[in-house]
Amino acid sequence: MVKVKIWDLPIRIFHWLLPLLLGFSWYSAETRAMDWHRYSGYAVLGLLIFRLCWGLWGSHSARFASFIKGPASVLAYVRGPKPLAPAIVGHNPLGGWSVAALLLVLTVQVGSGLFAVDVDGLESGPLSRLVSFDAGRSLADIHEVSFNILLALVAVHLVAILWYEFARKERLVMAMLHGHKQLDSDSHSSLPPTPSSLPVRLLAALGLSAVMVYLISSGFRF
Amino acid sequence: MSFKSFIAFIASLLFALTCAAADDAAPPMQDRVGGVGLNVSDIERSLDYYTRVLGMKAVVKVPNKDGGLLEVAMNLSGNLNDAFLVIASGVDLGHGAADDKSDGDNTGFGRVIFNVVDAQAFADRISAAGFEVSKLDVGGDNGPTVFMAKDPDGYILELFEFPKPGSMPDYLPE
Repeated sequence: MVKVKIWDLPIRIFHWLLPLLLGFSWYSAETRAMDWHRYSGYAVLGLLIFRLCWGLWGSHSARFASFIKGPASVLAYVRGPKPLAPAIVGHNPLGGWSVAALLLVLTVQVGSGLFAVDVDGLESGPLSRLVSFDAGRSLADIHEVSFNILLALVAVHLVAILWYEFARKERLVMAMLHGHKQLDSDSHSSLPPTPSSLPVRLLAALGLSAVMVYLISSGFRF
Repeated sequence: MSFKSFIAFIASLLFALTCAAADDAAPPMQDRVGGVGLNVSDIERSLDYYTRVLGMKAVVKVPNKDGGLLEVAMNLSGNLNDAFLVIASGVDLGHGAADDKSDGDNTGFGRVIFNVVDAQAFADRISAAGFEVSKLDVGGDNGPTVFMAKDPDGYILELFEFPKPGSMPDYLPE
């Protein structure tokens, strides 16, 4: 057995900031603290843009190309030999689609919030002036519906994690904390090496996220 | 991942949050006559008339308890900061205003709406001069601050205070 790094630090920070911010967004919306709700939303927007960049430029396990598989791979994984592919590094073919679904619903969630407006036309997302009041109200409704879908996906995620943790004895939670996984030494050789340009790409992803959040949160007004 | 990159990551997040905090998208809040309100018998029919026939755009839509419309503010620009026309159905304007009409359909002139930063200050001025003014209960504790006044001829004035930025008031009576 050998210990290999499967999750890079940015992915882990992204991962754990997300539930914190979603929880805070939920809380601030329920308590009508709409200023804080907007700030929280901007932070989630930044995380989301960063994750999309990191899905293209990040380390191997962070990349969409490494975990978005066709239906044949998903079926093969689900029907595969037991125990299922212990040497999988990163998201498995089924889990990859759960990540994609979460990111998609999160995009709808953040996107609709940017244009949403309250019944009095006052409390609104930073881009709501670009759409009519009625469209803003429709997006506010979508914002509520998509949050319920998001909660359902989070529930599925948690159940899956618990199942792997206790039924399959795969320590996914700890792996997401320290970033490492125990693997047979022979499967380790198939891991792609971490590219040396990663810090530069990280700065590029962070810079792009920060600029985008600035532009969007200011409603493209300068 | 090096410690330096980690610091850069945190710094960028803080930067993004600071940028967000610097945003002031709130509309300017200045005392003004916001518009006039009409009491209508069929709000959907009136909404269709003003939007489809006259080309007005809704800027506020307050729902009622049954999921229908309580009142709609509209203007030709679609910009909340421009003067608006409010159509209302079943709104309590205080002073028993909704019962003033003898024909029972509760239509007629509603009120002149003032949008103000400090409604209490206006109310104090009115009552100090000996005229009628009273606080309207809208949405209970979470509602906006609204006073209703009557001018010497009995026309109803609404003093609607801008909600505090960041708050989301209730518009339905509890």
